[in-house]
Amino acid sequence: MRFCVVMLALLVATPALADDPPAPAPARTVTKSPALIQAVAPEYPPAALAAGKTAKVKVKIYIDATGVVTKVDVLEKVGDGFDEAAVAAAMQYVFDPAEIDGKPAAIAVETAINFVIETKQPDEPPPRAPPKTTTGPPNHAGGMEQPITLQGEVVERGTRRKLAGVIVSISELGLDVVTGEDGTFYFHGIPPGGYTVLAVDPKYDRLKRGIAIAKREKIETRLWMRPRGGNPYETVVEGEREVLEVTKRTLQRQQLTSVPGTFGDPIRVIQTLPGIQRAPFGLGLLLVRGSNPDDTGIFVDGHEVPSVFHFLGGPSIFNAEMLESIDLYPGGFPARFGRKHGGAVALELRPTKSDGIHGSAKVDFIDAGGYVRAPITKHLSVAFAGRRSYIDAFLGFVLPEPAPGAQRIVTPIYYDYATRIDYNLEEDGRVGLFVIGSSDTLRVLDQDPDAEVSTDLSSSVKFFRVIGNYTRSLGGDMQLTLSPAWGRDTLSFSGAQAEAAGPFTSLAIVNNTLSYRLRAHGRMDKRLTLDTGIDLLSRATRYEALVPIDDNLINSSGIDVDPSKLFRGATTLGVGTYADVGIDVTTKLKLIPSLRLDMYLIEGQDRGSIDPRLVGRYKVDKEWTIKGYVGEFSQPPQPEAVDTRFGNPNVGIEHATHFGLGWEWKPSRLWSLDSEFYYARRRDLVVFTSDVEANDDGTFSYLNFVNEGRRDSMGFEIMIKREISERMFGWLSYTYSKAHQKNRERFDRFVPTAFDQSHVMNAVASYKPGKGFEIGARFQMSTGRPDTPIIGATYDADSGGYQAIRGPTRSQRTPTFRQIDARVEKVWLYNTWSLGLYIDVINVTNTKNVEAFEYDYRFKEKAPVTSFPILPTLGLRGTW
Amino acid sequence: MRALLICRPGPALITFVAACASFESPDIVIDTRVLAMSATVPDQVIDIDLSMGQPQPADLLDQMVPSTMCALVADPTFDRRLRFSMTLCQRCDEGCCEGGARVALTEGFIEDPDIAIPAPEMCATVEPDGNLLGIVLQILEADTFMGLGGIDYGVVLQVGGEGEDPALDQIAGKTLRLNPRIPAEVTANANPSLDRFDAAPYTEDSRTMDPFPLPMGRCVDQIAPLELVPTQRVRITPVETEGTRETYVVPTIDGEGQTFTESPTYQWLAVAGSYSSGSTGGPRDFSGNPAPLFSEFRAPRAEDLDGPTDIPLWIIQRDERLGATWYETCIRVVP
Repeated sequence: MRFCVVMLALLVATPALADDPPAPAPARTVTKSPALIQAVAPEYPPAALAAGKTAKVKVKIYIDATGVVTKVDVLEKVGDGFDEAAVAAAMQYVFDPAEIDGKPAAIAVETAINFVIETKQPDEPPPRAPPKTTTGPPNHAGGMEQPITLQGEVVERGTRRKLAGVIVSISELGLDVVTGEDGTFYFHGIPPGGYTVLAVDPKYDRLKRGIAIAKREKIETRLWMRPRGGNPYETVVEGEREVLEVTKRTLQRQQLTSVPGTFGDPIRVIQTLPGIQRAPFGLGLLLVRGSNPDDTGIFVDGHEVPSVFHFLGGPSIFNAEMLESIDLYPGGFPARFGRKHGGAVALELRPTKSDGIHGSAKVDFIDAGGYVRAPITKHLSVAFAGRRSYIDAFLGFVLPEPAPGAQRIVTPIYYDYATRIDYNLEEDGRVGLFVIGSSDTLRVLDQDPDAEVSTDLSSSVKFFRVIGNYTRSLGGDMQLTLSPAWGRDTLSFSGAQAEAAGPFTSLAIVNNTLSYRLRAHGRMDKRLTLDTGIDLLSRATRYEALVPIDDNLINSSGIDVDPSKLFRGATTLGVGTYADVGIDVTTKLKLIPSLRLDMYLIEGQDRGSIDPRLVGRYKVDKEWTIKGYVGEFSQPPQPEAVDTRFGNPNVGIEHATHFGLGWEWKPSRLWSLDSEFYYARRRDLVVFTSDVEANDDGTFSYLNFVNEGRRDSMGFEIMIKREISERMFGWLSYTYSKAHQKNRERFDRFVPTAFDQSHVMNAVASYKPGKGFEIGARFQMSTGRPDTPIIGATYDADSGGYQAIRGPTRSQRTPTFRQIDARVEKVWLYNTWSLGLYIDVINVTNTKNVEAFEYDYRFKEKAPVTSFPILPTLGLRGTW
Repeated sequence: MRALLICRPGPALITFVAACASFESPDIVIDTRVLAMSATVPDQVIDIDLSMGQPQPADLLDQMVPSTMCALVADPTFDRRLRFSMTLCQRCDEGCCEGGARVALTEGFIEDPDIAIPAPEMCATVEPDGNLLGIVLQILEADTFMGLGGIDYGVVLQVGGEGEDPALDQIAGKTLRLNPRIPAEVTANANPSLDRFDAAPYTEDSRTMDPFPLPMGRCVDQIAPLELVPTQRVRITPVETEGTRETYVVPTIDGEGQTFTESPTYQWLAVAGSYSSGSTGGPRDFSGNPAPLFSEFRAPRAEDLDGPTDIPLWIIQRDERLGATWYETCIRVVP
């Protein structure tokens, strides 16, 4: 007897559903049996071998949905150590999982493991297997003293991303490794022969590949792993972060581009979250908890930027690939976000990596764009992104025809670009530079000789920012970030007759912003977390205009005022310092007192604000957390409001108080529920007024702006979220809110705000059924916006038009808004790149949603102004 | 009933959101409608010496003059008399301001304004009396500019068919203004005027004929109105009286004044057909184009006519200082 061989007979008999006992109904069908792809030879019990005993052990093996054995039961015990040996071996089996009703599912199989003794004459010396245990790194296996005979790297199909943490095994030798950070693995001293290499990772399809190793041969290989569901797009897995806020809703990169109805626009996805009212006509307004869009700050790496959307309701200027995540703080936000009293949206930029050349490109009906990132050296990497629209090519099809004999040329063009460069200083930190810019131009040339008029209209909006960033460790868990930024925003308009020497009217607004942020944050000790810093903001706004100026007239209606040149400027300097201190009072209770101090020098006048805040979080148990907050928030007036001529240099800071109470429930890693009651009281708001004040010399002055606005909102929000997994993500958000306002001039009593919507619901779901498909849907429903009824009209003989007689202000609403959007994408995966074809259909049911009403000339008849009809968008995107 | 399809791009042009509604054209008069109101003295200027303290009511009344307010009303659907009334008051959107003082100026009936010969007049005179003074002082009391920009009061007209439910009446209003002579260059306005309208019909090859003076007057008053064939266009151009574009001074909030020149507007109305533009004239646009004065009338289609048809046209000339003058003409469309 040369050696003993253990014969296995895997008799898959009567696979049973693993949920024991099986549910009586409904019937579930095993559509694919589990297949054994890695078996491990059991140890023959030495005593039984010596005694020449054989055995057949019947076992029941429980296999989970990933193919891993979770339990083994011996059905008929045979003794002599055979039962234990069989169980020990079977526990190491790896299966291609079974499918039930077409989906991977847990299952149990019954089989028998035969222990027999065979006598075999040695033909040749068998290969000597290397030792199974090594003392080398985890991505090395075999005898470390022997040379490497098989090495390789594991990469993701479609993106060529190196995959760390993948188990690679040679089943015949019982060797396995875990790939390193760079996706590599090494086997030492593999004897010549044919083997099966298996690569396993829960997020990827199992990969099995045969290899043959000849004598003294060294093999290098690359294993291409296919993401489950066939989608190659990167999934971000976030670690636990220190929580210094009460309510933050985070969107990860994959969620930024695949939500139906958002045109793949990362910022628009925010509009599906609780606390955000629906913006009419699909505009990109952020209407947070009843506040004005201007009251919510958008912060890019901590620096506030103005509106980030292209004109005419176009997409946002940010390429999703440049973003790491987007956080929405609907209320009670941390003190590091200042100078706003509505909400805060924080865009975290994505550092580049030196992990090869990667990129993506997208083409659809409206624009085309791309993104590339590449390493320059081991520590230096760059990324570029750009997009250009071509709506000018087809806008002519949707605009009204010019009159016979007339000529019209309309050229709307928008583009944006972004560059990022990162240098990894290793233990000295990381330094980065981000540049982003956008341009929107519109030119309309209209000539109608018959009507004796011509128009040459040009307008442009440009945005530019440079943001520097240096981050390093301060020791322990503390981090320091220094970030300067400079930006210029310009808006220009000119109107002239065709071929005129110069404009008849024009306007140019140039806004230069310089800001600087210093932030130190992290855990200071076991009980204390700190986020503190200083931020400076310097803004100089310059206005140049050639316009009819009638601000000095008492009644300018119908007067033909000659344009005159106007030069104005406004400067604002803001210095703020803040601290959010997280105190773990007990293991369950965390209190976060915060304080923000702001000083301003606006048009030579100083103003200041002190905003204390307190957040509390109480962890009831592993799943439940109760949270609450109260805090003060302040916001300086807009530059135009403090202009000495057209504004009021005496207007002061706007204030708000936020209250909130809520809870979070996280029953599993994938599911969470977040709910909150809130109340926000905004006061001293700067509102326009046509009032005048009499001067001592008998003349008058317009007040223009006063701090007399009030805007209160209260409500309840809930969000049920299913986090991203390899196959699906989604959320259901619901907001109940009441927002009303008053000011001295327009409303002497509280009336609903213009965008008040009592009920807002968004349901978003995305699912990958496999074969590279991803399907998604979004359902929106919201109460109609407030509207003032028109109850009659009288004829104004001075103007020749009718004057509406209006009922109580905003006492009725437009009908409830309902819309379903859908998105289907098919991705073809190739080793080095992937191609996706998608169709995004807005309003698939073609529901006629009323956004407003328009009336006939004497207000007798009205007709609805409706939002999007059904609007499909077809696009292609490639990633490599 | 004729209708006009109005399509306006929505605020989000890129999303192709549009509002399309089928409404009646405001240029076509299809039922009882007030078209214009005009006062013989649209605004008046009084001298105030502020160094002598608040002006005495008697001083104000001495300087004010009567102003006769007349209205142009069309009622093309019915042959009937019209009931009307005029009220002096402070104007609001609904007519007279609720709770404010008001004085009934006149009420009565007129014969059918479209066919009665001679043309009936719907007029009333605002006398400078204690009633007017009471209303003026009430308005002055609430005026933040203390009357510097003028005191606006108005006449509100209520008109309906004889025997019709008054709830269906048309309400119209016209403002009258009392200006202080501050600064001293402030002058009273006179109603705008025209020499004539020039008509230039289009030929079949879309060329305009040489213009000629358009015969004026109501259809019932004209023997040989301008004749067009169905769908034929005619360009009608107002020829303004020299000097009708008055130069005037407007007070500013710093007690000074700014000088401007009037830019009259023209409102074009008819009972059938269509206009290229329902409103012409006025200030320059933002490109600096002087506003064209003309409009082109297109005769109705043959299938909309029952033989030769006389179509009344009205053109209302207004300036920005409450002045208004109306003109009536007629076009005969012969299929």
